Order: sequence, then structure tokens, then C-alpha cells
Amino acid sequence: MTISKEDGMKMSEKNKNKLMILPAILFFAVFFAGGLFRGIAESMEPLESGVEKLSAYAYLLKSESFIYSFRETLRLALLSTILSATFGMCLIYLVYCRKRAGKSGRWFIRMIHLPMLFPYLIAAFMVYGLLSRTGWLSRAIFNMGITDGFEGFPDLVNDSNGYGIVIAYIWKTTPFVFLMMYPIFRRIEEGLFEVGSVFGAGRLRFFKEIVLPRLLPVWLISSLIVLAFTFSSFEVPYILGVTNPKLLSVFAYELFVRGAPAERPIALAVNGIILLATAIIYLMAYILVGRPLFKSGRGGGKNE
Amino acid sequence: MKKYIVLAGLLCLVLLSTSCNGKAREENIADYDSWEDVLVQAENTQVTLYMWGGSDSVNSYIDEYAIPSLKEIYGISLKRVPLTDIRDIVNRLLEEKDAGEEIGSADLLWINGENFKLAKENGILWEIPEDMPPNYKRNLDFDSEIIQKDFGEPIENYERPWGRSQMVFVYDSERSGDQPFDSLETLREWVKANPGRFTYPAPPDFTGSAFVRQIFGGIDNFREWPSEIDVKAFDSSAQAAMDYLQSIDKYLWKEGRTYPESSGKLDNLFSSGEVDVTISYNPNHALNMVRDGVFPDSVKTFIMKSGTLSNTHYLAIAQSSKNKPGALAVIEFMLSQDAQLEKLNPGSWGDGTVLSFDKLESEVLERIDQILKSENILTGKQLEEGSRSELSSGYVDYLERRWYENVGKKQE
Repeated sequence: MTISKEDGMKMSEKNKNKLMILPAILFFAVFFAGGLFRGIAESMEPLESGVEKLSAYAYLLKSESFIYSFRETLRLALLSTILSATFGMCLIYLVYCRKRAGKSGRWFIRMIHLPMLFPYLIAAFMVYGLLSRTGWLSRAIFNMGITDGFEGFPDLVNDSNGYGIVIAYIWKTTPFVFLMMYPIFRRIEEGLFEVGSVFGAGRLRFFKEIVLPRLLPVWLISSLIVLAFTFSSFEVPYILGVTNPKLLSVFAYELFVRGAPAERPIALAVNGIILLATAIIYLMAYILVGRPLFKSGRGGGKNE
Repeated sequence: MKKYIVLAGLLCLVLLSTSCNGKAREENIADYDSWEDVLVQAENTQVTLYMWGGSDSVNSYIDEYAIPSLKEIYGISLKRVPLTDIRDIVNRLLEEKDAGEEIGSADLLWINGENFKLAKENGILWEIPEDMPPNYKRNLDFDSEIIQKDFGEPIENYERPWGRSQMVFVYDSERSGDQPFDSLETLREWVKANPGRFTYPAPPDFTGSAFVRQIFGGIDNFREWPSEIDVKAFDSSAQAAMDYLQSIDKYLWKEGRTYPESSGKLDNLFSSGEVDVTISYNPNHALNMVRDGVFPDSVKTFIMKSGTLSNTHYLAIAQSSKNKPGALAVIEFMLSQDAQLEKLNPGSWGDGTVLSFDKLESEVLERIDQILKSENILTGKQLEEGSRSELSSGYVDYLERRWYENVGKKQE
């Protein structure tokens, strides 16, 4: 929305805006980018003297537990992403149906906002409190006489399948996917809905032919953001994960905390690999949909 | 618009200046001739204390007792910085030293064992002047081992003792009846008879790592190992400990497929009834939890027949601290009788005292007896007789690694 406003601004105002973010950029450059480059540089240091550079990376690629951890991280990130992208689209469809029925659905959208208010840490603890074997849900079911003990409840938290992690991610990222698409959905002109019903387009057909194509680029981009995030985030797998395989971020953290100073390049190389993977994901997002999105996004929906 | 350019310029200046005016300030405060001088310099300053933040009772001791008292007595603002692992700040100080920064981010560190060794060896700790602070000389017993060595590492004035603790096991007498086990053999039998009802935090969690050392000590009869690590000799005993842990693994919580990541999680599993025993390196922790209403009143603590590990924890001052006088004054306060007794109180932190009992007046000793009276926990003699020394810190890392290789890392 700010993008379309910006077009109408005068040059000087634009420059002023740029200046206003200068302190933030400086801060970012010094502390964030500085740390990033130091981390990358250190990850390339040889592990022992006499070994070539990048030996930490070579070590990791040969390490079974790293490969195992990488596979597991990718699996859970993909699973969480696919599910929350699907649910996000389902929610849009529900809102669309309410709109067709002539209801604003405002309370519904507020409800969807709710998980956005909680940090991931809280989300992880909520999943733990709710779904662990002695958690709230298990107790409720036990009290209703459905299970005859805590063992009867499925193993959803700190489980080898990583269900707890996926559930926490879905709860947090589905609203994100939804809220990324919602403004685009709202920009679809009222007239189109009327035209749709005049020409007798069915509910599903109108959604498929008019709504979906407009949402697709944002949907893809937000899914890729979710993928990059769930691939690299720390709190959720730290609390809901298992001792082995550790997800990459926890793997890196424990190497860093436990390891001898000489092994620090290894911990940082794990981060280097996480960084590379997320960079690839973002690059994919840019190539697939980024450029066309930015082009069409500039003019806003109204020019179409 | 100019405002923002000025702002940006200022920011650059600040960034530049933090790296170069460190030395000048350092020399200003290098005067430690008399304690009065130190106190004068400490007044109206801020001291940052980096510490493990995983215990509510520890945090509230600092926040509700130490911080207001320090403000009142010395005019010092103490700032508590919570960490999940003290290694975080040790690593950061190492980084800062590498980067050549003169002024570091920390004044005081709550530290011991392997982290102390690492910090000391890398020169990030300040050598505290011999007689400082005065309460250290006044209240502590100089012949005791805790003044000399920390996990086998000579202390050499790089830290001051702050408190003592000992590992205990906690069970609920109402739920489990008799004390579940008192030796490695009975632990194994009990675990097999009660599958899924026992676990321990995964190392490198502090308590989990200590539990592995406890098992090692039990098998190795708490022998003393040279502080210079000798892996070859150590290895066969370490292997025996790993064999033991593997033998109980599949009878543990979730069949040993995963372990709680922290002692807080283990407490949680215990209080919610998922496991029957929890472990703590603070003998008064269970009482704190009872008083907070987290554990039922029927919990009791116990130790092994052959004893459990005990250790001392310390306060150290960072070499790069910009406020050493303030940090010294904080240690002075922490080693006062009042602060130590308050810390001993299970309603507060409930941490063992480092005061020398020989140097205390009978009235103070009586107060200590009063403070520790409880049905829930072992205290005094019972604990002291079962107190065993910790392993040299060089072996701690090694055992953690062995644990991960042999026990923690299981492929599906």
C-alpha cells in the first residue's frame, strides 16, 4: 500500500524518506552485515593449521549427523510450508465465500490475526502445554474417559516425526500467508463480483478464474518466505524437537555453545549453509515471481 | 532533513569512539589501594551481571533482594542479564578480545567449571587483588578447597566463591511410595520395572551433564583425575559409564529416543506426572518448588548411598569490564552474612552458603538451622556426608561428547 502512495509523491519527499531510514541502514550495515561477514569469514577458517580453507564445510558434508539433520530440517520446513500455504488459501476461500454471501467477515479476519500477536517462543510453549502427553488436551480427553492414561494420547511433542514443530509452525505461519494475500483479495473490484454473478459463474469457477490468478504470485512468495523462515528458525525446534536429529539451527547452537574454540568454524559453517539455503530460496522467489510481481504491484490493482 | 544527517553522523561517531576511548578510561580507575577508594569509584555506577536465567528463584533473589539492597547500600545499579548458558557470554568476550575491543559488554559473570577454565586460559577474566573484597577475607575459610580449586582448576584470584550446591534426586513419596533407588544397581532395576518413568536432561544442559558425571563417578568410585586431561586412562571408565547409560536407555522416557533439553523441562515432566523423578543440582530446589506450589508437599529429596556430586559456583570479573570497582562492591555485598543467609533461605533462592561456619557467631548459626528446617529436603549433615568432588573440568566436555556419540545420537 505504501508503494502505490509513493508514486504520487514529489521528488524531495522521496529523498527525505530515504534519509529517514539512513540511521536504520547504518545500524544494519555495522551490526548485522558486519556480524554476518565476520561469521562467514570465520566459517572459512581452516580447522587445523596446515589444512586448506573451507575445511569446516568439507567436514560437515562428510558428517553423517549433519546430513541427517539437514534432511530432517528440510523435510519439516517443506511439510510446514506446504500445509500452511494450503490452509492460508483455504482461509482466503472461506473469506471469499462469506463475501459472496454478503457478509464482511471482519471478526473472522480478526481471529486470524490472533496468532500473529504471539512470538514463536510462546507458540512453542503453547503447543507443548496443549499437546504434550500430560498436556491440556490429553487431560481433557482422559477426564472424558476416552483414554485410560497419558500413554493413550498420541506422541505429538518432542516426537521423532516432528509433528509438534509442524503444528507450531502452521499455527504461526498460516495467518501470515493469509494476511499477505488478503490485501490483494480486497483490491479485486466489487464490479467483478457482480459481473461474475450476472454471467452465472459458479462460486468455485469464479474463484479459480478471477481470484486465484491474482493471488498466485503473493501466495508463492509468502510460501517461500515461510520456507526460508521455518528452515532456519531456532526456538520452535529447540523446545519441541528431539535430541537427535537436531534441526540445523539447534545443531549450530549446540556446536557453538559446547564446542571448543577451535571448532567454532564448524558451528559457523552450519550457519553458512543455512544462509546459503535461504539465499537460494529467496532467489527462487525472485526469479519465479519477484520481478513480475514488483512490476504489476507498482501500479496497484486499479490499473488492470 | 538536516536533523537526520546529524543523527546519522552522530551514530558514526559513537560507533568509532567506542573502540578508541577504552584505554583512557581503563587507566582512570586502576586505583585499588584502599577499599574506601573502590567504594567511592563504585558509587552511582551500573554493573552488569551475566548469569544463567533458567531459575525463577535465582532470578527473584537478584531482582527483589540484591538489586534494591545494592542500590541502597552502595548506590550501585545492578543489571541482571539472563542467559540460557553462560558459555554464550564467554564466547562473546572471546570474540570481543579477538576483535581487539578494550571495553567489553560484561562486568560480572556467574561461572564455574569448564567455562571458568576456558575463560581463565584465554585471559578474559580479571585477576582480583589478593585481599579484595574485604568480606571475602572476613567470612570465608581460606583452608577450604573451594578457595583453591574450581573443578580441579586452580583459581588464582580469577574468581570468588559465591555459593555451593549438591546434586539431589527428587521424588513424590505419595505417588511412588518408598525412595525409588539409592545406587546404580537399584536405579537400573527401578528403571526397568518402571519403563518410561525416568529421564535426565540431554547434555550440554548443566544438570544433564552433571548427571552423566554422577553416573561416571558412581562407576569410577569418585576417583580424583589429574587436571591435565589424560584421555587414554580415562577412556575405559568413560566407556563403562556409557555402557551403563545405554543399558537403561530404552527404559527411559519416550524409550530414550529423545531427552528433555533442559532441567526446567524435566521439572515440568515431573510435576505433570509424566516421569517419577527429577534431578537438581540445588539441594533446596525441591523446597522452592513446593513453596511455589509447583511440586506437591509430598516430594522428598534423596542422594545415592555412595554420594552425589557437589560444586561451588563463583563470581568473576571480566578483564574488559569498564567498572571493576562496581563489580568488586557487588561481590562484597554478595559475600556479606546477610546476603548469604538470604540466599540460603529456600523461600528465596535456597542456595548453599560459602560462609565459614567457624567464623560465624552462634546466633547466626541458629538462624541457619531455622532457615533449613523442612520435611521435604535433605540438609546439613546428611548432605555433607554424601558430598563428592567434581571431576576436573577438562573431562566434562569429553564426557558430554562421549554421551552424544554413544547415547544421544541414535539413527532411526
